[in-house]
Amino acid sequence: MLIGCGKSFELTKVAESEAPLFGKMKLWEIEKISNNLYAFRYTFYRNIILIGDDGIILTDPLTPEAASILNKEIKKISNKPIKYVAYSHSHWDHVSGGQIFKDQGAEFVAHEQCLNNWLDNPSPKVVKPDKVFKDDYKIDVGNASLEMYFYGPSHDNCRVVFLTQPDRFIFIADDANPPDGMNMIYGAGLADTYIFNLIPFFQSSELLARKKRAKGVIGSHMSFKNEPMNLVSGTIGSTRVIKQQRLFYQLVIDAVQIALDKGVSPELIPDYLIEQGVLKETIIGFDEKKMRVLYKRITNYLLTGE
Amino acid sequence: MVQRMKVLKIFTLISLFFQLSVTQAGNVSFSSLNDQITLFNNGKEQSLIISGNSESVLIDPINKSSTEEVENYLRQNKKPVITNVIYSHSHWDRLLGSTLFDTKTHKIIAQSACELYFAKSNNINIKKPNLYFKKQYNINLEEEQVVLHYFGPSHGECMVVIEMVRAKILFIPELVSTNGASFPKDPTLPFLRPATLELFFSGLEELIEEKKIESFISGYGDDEIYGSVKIISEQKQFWQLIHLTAKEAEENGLVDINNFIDVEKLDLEKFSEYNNFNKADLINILRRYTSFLNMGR
Repeated sequence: MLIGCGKSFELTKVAESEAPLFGKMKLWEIEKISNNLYAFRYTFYRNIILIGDDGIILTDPLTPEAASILNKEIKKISNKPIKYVAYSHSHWDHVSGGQIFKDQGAEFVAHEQCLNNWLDNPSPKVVKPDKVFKDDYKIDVGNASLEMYFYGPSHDNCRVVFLTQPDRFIFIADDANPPDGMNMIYGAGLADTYIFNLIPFFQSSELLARKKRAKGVIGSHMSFKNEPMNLVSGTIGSTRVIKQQRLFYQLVIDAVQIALDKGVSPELIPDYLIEQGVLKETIIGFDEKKMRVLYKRITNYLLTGE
Repeated sequence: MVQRMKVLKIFTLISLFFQLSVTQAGNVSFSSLNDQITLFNNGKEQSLIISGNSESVLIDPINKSSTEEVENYLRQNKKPVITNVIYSHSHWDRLLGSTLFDTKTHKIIAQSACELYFAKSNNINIKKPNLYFKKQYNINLEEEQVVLHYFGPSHGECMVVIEMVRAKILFIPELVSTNGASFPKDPTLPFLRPATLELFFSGLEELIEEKKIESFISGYGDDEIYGSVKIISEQKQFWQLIHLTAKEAEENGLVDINNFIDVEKLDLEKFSEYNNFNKADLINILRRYTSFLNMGR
């Protein structure tokens, strides 16, 4: 349960698969956050659905299989038309499978750089956007809307922050997954990540959360609590997770910078930091192998600016 | 007969020495490739100076001490001062000598995608470019023409290839070694752009074909000076092999939940043909490609 400004948000499972994912987790599930806001999880991935008087906004179709399930299930919840599909960024593992919604007349919306990415390297599974924007954009379906904010390249060069209305939840694809932003990250090599702008990106996201009095964060991925084997759905959580995510990256960058300033040879920094036990007690689910890769990546960033 | 061969060898070496005159200044060596082009090498990195009658072009002011030695070299050899500074890409470790130049009196040139990195950078040791270009940029010196070509993101967002037109030589700062097609120096591939990498190599091959270029020089300080352009195609094939291997592994269910491929299940022989082959490195390289196949970038 998440409490914000007197209103509490309790998740209600409205549908789930028969097929398991593992343990008690099902392959997919739909959770209701409010009358206007739902979350759909397929395997480890999640998107959000907004239902307003004038229609439905979907985000990130995920895969053709996920989209097919979502298409079927959403019609059991609402008979409103699917009017929009909004993309959070350009990575295929989040944005594939939208054709089923395109065929229903949905308008696809993304940041303009995402379109460039798909022109450079198209995928037959990714529907190109009908509408692109530069800085921010709002999609309205009557009494619900989705605001999209671009704060420069971060993870991918076109990732936007979603803010849902009227419930005021924030969604940051591939980062800030509840319950805790200090969790060990999945992709330690930070592929397709613009490290130089990561901290400013999260600072802007925190400012957005404060300015708009966001109630919470919806996670784009399943996460873990306390330790990696304890997987949790992580659907909603406090906006604190955005700051935690920023601190995660900031602490790693600072640790490497300190080592460089001490004169530790760049090639030896991962070994040095691991041996010193730096961040071992701070990062939840600290994984030595992953941290070596992450420390090396950050060292490269500090030496080259990229 | 043996004695004759010995003399011939010595004679050849002496001739080569005089054709490729090498001087040393501090930890920087200078090799005069012809009257216009000089290679400088600080042991770790190398780059070029191209001189006309009244101006010189410097590719990558690598660091302060190397760049000071370059300026001394030009003075001592009565070559004109540097007027144009080319940034081959945005990485600071090739640009740390840039503060020796003044944007009021020098053109500091970079490809436009570099602006993303320079605009927000607060690194006081890097001078921001004052001239950006998109696809191609020409510098005409009297005896040589220097052309900067951009073929899309490859190593980083904005790396260019530099053509010395009359000499028919290319300078390729990263990605290709004149020692032969090889595994990358950093197997975690922090700067690789797999989505556009093959386009980069194809653009380069087209240029080579069109201009009938036969040799290239790399930015690596431990490389042979010249490499055959055949190596470029072989390097392209290496990346195609990596891409194909990752794709097949995906199709055959060999990729685990963390996107790693079990390399023990692969035929490693085709990889062992490349310089610096290393199984542990291959694991990380393939991991970047399974991520690429997942994300499209």
